Amino acid sequence: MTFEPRRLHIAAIIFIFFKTMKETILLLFSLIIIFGREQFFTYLLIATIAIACSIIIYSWLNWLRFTYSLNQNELKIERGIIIRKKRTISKHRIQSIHLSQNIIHRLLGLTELQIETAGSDINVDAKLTAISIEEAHALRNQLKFDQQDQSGTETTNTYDYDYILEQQVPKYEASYKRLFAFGSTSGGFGVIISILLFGISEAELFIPDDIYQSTTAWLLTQALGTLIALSMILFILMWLLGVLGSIIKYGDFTVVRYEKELYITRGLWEKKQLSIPLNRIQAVGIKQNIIRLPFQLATVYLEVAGGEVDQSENMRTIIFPLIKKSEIQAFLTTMLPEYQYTMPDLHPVSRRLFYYQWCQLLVGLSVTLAVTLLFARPFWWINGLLLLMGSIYFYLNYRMAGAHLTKQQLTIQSMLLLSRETVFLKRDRIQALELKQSLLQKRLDIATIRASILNNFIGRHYTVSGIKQSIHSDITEWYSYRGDYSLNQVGIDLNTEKK
Amino acid sequence: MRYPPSQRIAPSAIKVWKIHGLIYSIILMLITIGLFITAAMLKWNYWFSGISLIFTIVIVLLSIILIPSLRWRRWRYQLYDQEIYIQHGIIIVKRTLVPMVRVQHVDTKQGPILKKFNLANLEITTAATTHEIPALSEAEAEQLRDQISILARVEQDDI
Repeated sequence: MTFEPRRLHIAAIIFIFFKTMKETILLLFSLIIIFGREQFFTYLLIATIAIACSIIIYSWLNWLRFTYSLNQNELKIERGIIIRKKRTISKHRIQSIHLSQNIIHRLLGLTELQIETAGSDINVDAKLTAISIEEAHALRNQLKFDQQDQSGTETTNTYDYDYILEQQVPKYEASYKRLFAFGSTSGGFGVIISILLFGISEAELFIPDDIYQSTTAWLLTQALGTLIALSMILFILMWLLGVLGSIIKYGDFTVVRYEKELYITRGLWEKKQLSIPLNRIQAVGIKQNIIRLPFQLATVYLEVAGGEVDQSENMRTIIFPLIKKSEIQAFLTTMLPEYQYTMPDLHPVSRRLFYYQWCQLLVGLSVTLAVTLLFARPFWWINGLLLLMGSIYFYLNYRMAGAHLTKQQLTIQSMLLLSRETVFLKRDRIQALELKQSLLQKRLDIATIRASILNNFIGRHYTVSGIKQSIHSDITEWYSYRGDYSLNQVGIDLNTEKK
Repeated sequence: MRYPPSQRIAPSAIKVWKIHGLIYSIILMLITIGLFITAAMLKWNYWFSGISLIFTIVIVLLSIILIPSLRWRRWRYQLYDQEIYIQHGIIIVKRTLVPMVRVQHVDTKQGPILKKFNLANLEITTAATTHEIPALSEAEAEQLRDQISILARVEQDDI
C-alpha cells in the first residue's frame, strides 16, 4: 500500500481547536483578571470572540497544511502553516504504534495514531490526530508488515490487535470488581478529599457573607447525628468519585503477550491501545501502597525507555492495575517469563538499619526539643508526636526493605512514600550501581545500594538501605564487568537457583 | 567489600578546592559585614549578625582547611577494560561501578581556575546517570576520555 499525500479527517480541526484553546485559556484568564472591570466588559467580549475566531482559522489552516503520505519504505509528514516542516520516518526504525480514541473519536469512528521511534526525543515522533479506524489499522499493518517480511517470518498481520486477540494468546483482563477495589484503595481518593477540604476553606472568600453565615448557623444548630451523617455522605461521594475516575481510566483493561511485545488496551472515556516491545522494558515493578498491603493487593508496572509518558502514574506504564499477591507469579510467567518472581525469597535487611535510623531520629529530636523548650514551651508535646510517627515510619521502612540476587536478576524492595515497591532488575539494564556507606554504617556493617535505570528519557534510581556486607559484596561482584567474576562468588542464592 | 580503586586525582586539586572555598567564604563574609552594618544603622539586635559570623567562621574552617584535603584523600578512580570504578564522599563514602557498555559519552570540562592549574574534569554520561571525576591533569583527562570512548565503542543493545 502506498498513497499520495493526503489530509487528516476533517474532524481533526476540532481537536486542534480544543488543544490550542486549552493552551490559550490561561492567557484569556489573565486578561480577564487584569482588565476585568465593568467598563471594559464589551472590549473583553470582543477580544474573546476575536481570539476564538483566530483559533478557528488557525486550526483550519493547520489541518489544511498537514499532509501525510506513505511509500515503499517510509511515512512522510509535511506540516506547518508558514514554516514547512517535513519529517520522514523509515519503516524499520518504528518501535511502536499506539492508537487512542477519546469520546469524539469514537462517535465519528476515528482514532488517533502515534508512532514512536527509538530516538530520544520527548515529543512524539509522529502523531496523526484523526484518521478513520480502518485506515489506522491498514496503516499499522502496513508499517509493521514490511518489517516482518524483511525478517522472513511468515506471520502476516502481526500488528492487528483483533487478529492477536483471535489467537489463543496469554491474556489478562481486569474485572470491574478489581477496578472498583483499585479505585477504593488508591491514594487518589485521599487527594480528592484534601482538594475538597481546601476548596471548602477557600470557599468562604467567594460565597456571599449572609449565605455563609446562615449556613454555618444552621449547621451549628443541628444535632451531632445529622453532622456525622452529612460528613459520611460527603465521604462516600468522594470515594465514589475516586472509584469512578479509576474505572474510566482503566476500564476494559486488557493485557496481551504476543511474541516479543506486550499489548495493553484500557480506558472507557479515552480508549488507548499501547504496544510495548520487550527490548524497551528496563524493569518490572510491583507496588503496594499502605492501604493495599494488608489485603495482599498490588499493582504491576513497567519502567520503559522512551515513548509513552504517563505523567499521572509517576511516568510508569501499568500492566495490571490490581492483582492479588498470590497471582503475581502466574501473571509474570505468562506475560513476562523473562523476569522471575522472587518476592517470597527476599532477604530482609539488617535490623541494625532500624536502630541506626532511630538513633538519628533521637539526635534530631533532641535538638528540636531544646529549641521548643527555649522558645515555645507549651508545644513540647509535638516532639512526642514526632517521635511516635518517626518510629513507626522507620520501623515500616526497615520491615519493607529487602534484596535478592539470582544469576539473571537483582530484586530490590524498599518503602517509597508509604508504598512498598519491589523492582526486578536485569544486569544489562542497570546503567550504574552505587554503594553508599558512612563511617558509622561501616562499623555497623550496613550499606545502601543504589541502582540506576533509564525511565522514559531520564534516570530513575532505586535504593535500598541496610544491606549486609555478605549480600552487597555479592551484588557488586555480580554487577561488575571486571571479567574475573565467577558464579561461586554469588554466594547467597545458589541454593534457590538449584531448586 | 571490594578494594578501593587505585588511582588518585591530581594533588593540586586541593589547591583548586581551597580557592573555591575561599571564594565562597568571601561571599559569606560580605553578607556578614552587610548584616553588621544594617544592624548598626537600623539599630537592630546583633543576634543575626552574630549567628552569621559564627556560621562564616565555621564555613571558612571547613571549606578551606579541612574539607579539601579530606576530599582529595577519598577521591579515587580506576579504569578497567569493561568498567569504571569511582570512589568519593567524605562522611558517606560512595563507590560507583559504571560498565563501559553503558557509557553514552565522555566529556572533559575546564573552568578558569582549573585551567590555571592545568587540570580538567572528566564527565561520564550513561542513559540514566552522570559521573564526574574532578581535577585530573589535562593530559590524563584527555587520555582517559579517549580511552573510555574507545572502550565504550562496543555494539550496544537497546539502551
